[in-house]
Amino acid sequence: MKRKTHIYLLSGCLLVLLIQFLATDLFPGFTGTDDQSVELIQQIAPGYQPWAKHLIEFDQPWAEPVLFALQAIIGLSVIGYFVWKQSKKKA
Amino acid sequence: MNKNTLAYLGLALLLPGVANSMHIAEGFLPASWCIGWWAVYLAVLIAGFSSLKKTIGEHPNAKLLFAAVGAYVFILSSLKLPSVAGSSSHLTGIALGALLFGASSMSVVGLIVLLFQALLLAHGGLTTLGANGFSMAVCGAFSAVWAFRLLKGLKAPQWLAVGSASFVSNLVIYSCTSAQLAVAFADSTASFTSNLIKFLSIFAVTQLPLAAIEAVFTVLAFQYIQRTSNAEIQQLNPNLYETKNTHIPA
Repeated sequence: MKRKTHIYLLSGCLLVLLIQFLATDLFPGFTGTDDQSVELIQQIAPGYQPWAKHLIEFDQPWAEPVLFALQAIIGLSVIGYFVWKQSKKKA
Repeated sequence: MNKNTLAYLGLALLLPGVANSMHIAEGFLPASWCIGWWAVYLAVLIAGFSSLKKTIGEHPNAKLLFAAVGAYVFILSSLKLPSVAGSSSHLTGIALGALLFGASSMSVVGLIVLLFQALLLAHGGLTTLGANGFSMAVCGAFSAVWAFRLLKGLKAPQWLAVGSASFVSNLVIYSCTSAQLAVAFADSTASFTSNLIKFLSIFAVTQLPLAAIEAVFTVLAFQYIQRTSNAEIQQLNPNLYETKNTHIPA
């Protein structure tokens, strides 16, 4: 990769950290829409009991962000390979 | 857009924040509805798998492109963003693949993403995967294709047609989820319409700005693919760039 690309990627990493900070620290009270929909279901049908549970649930608070990051990394790896193959094709 | 820009996009999407997805949570849909949605989704999934197998068989060079559009969904659906009204939600990324490979083929991608999230991340669920898959990978994909066709029919520029397809797709996914929940919990005390308004007030309002962000991402990604994989696109969809007779395989 060229030096310019490294600078771009580093800037991208910093941007990620900034967005991460903004998304999680500046808006800690922001609840997910699925959590809100569960609350609404409980209001509309107070007697409704969920009839199934997740097969795997992690108690550790760090597990979920790490697994979502893993999901993103898998996707990024494939896209990185695609970009690399396209650049080789052009060259 | 060059490859560096795409690299940014990828990095910008790598947000390790806790994601609260658009999925209906495990067990939060009555069993009869779960079975019904699974049946509908399975039908589309079989058609999608068959269509994809045929496409890849005819155009083996498009395998990597399909992996890339699948990865795009993988990344975008891992991303949580704060939105209006103190809520946060997700992008989906379904439109890009639907425009390139046809709407039904995205049901395969949807299955992989939703299984990953249901099994490992405790988001969505196996019982509700049929409903979630139908809203995300079926309604989202078909609405993207139809919006694209409409805009191209109106002679809109390519970027506007792609962006609108993505925007519409994102909103339709959440509207469909709202309708699924509204109909499942409709009874004598809570009508479908009143439920729908309540669920839409959660999902649709949150999604509006996020759908606009996704539209920008999708236009940039589409332009990159158009520039670097034009030969594959021409093989997959010879008329994709045409104003008239725009045809995208279902």
